[in-house]
Amino acid sequence: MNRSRAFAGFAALVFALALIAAWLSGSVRADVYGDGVTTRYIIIERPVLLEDDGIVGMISAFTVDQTIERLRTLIGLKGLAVYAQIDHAAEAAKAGRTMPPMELILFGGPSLGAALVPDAPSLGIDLPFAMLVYRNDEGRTILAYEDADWLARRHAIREDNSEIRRAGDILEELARTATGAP
Amino acid sequence: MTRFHAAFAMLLLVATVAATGAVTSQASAQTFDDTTAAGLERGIVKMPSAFSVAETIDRLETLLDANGTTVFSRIDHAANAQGVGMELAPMQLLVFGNPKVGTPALQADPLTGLDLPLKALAFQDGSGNVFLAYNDPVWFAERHGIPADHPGIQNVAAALDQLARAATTP
Repeated sequence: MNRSRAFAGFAALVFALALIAAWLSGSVRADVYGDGVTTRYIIIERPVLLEDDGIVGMISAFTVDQTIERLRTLIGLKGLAVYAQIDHAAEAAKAGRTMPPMELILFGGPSLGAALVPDAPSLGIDLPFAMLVYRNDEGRTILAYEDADWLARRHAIREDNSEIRRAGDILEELARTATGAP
Repeated sequence: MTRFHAAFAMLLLVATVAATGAVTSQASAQTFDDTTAAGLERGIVKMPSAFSVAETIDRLETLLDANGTTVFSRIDHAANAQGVGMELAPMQLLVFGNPKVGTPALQADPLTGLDLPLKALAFQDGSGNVFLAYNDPVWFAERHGIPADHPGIQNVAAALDQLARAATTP
């Protein structure tokens, strides 16, 4: 009697811990509406909890400048082009305001996403792809970019479309390598 | 025994809270799915232009200059596509902003830096109609947890509406 209750207690503890672990890890896949569509919070290793809609974040092992430099090199190695680099902190300084380092890179190439544009012209507003690198309140360097699934939903592209998947894979690879994520 | 029951109830409570948390966070992501499932281009303001794509962007650029707004970049998507032998109807993007207006947003939430500077896209559809599209500041606010009735957001929305109308109508 006592033993079976103890077992039930133990099982409940394991269940609770597993749920808490799944919740905290932030990578739960769930079919909320029972319609076969599973969704997850997209958080990659060493995640930062980015609450803003559709944004993937990674902590970089490098400074903002170093991360941007690595990113530029990697973009070049992929045969892609940097279309614009905007130093948000420098722009803020011009307006007489001080803020921690933050830079935005717009990059891409006709081989990355352009094939989707004829059927989804509004995607053009999110191209070239953007990556933001900034120093957060805790002094960590964060690299953030738009999740490919989110871009697909926004522009009514099927999430399993091979072009958007490929773009997502390239973005993730660039982000991981630039930040030194494993 | 009672203590054990209490402990058990506590565990169930924790488990339920954890499960609810997981479901709540999923649900907020899912809601977004639902809005867009019908193919709505979420958060994009789109208006027809009486001019060609290049003219529309030229006009917008002139208006922004006059307004003291910095144009950071102009990207010709169609020309870039043609450069590698891909067919794409005329499409150009303008990246612009005013650090005086944008910096407070960046300071409040660094992730707004992904949506700043602002962008406007002129494109031609299959029937030859030209449109000017830009990200709705209200959507921007929602995305980054800024109240939609924030005066800064309302001002930017009004300014963009005025600029876009002026750029697209004779």
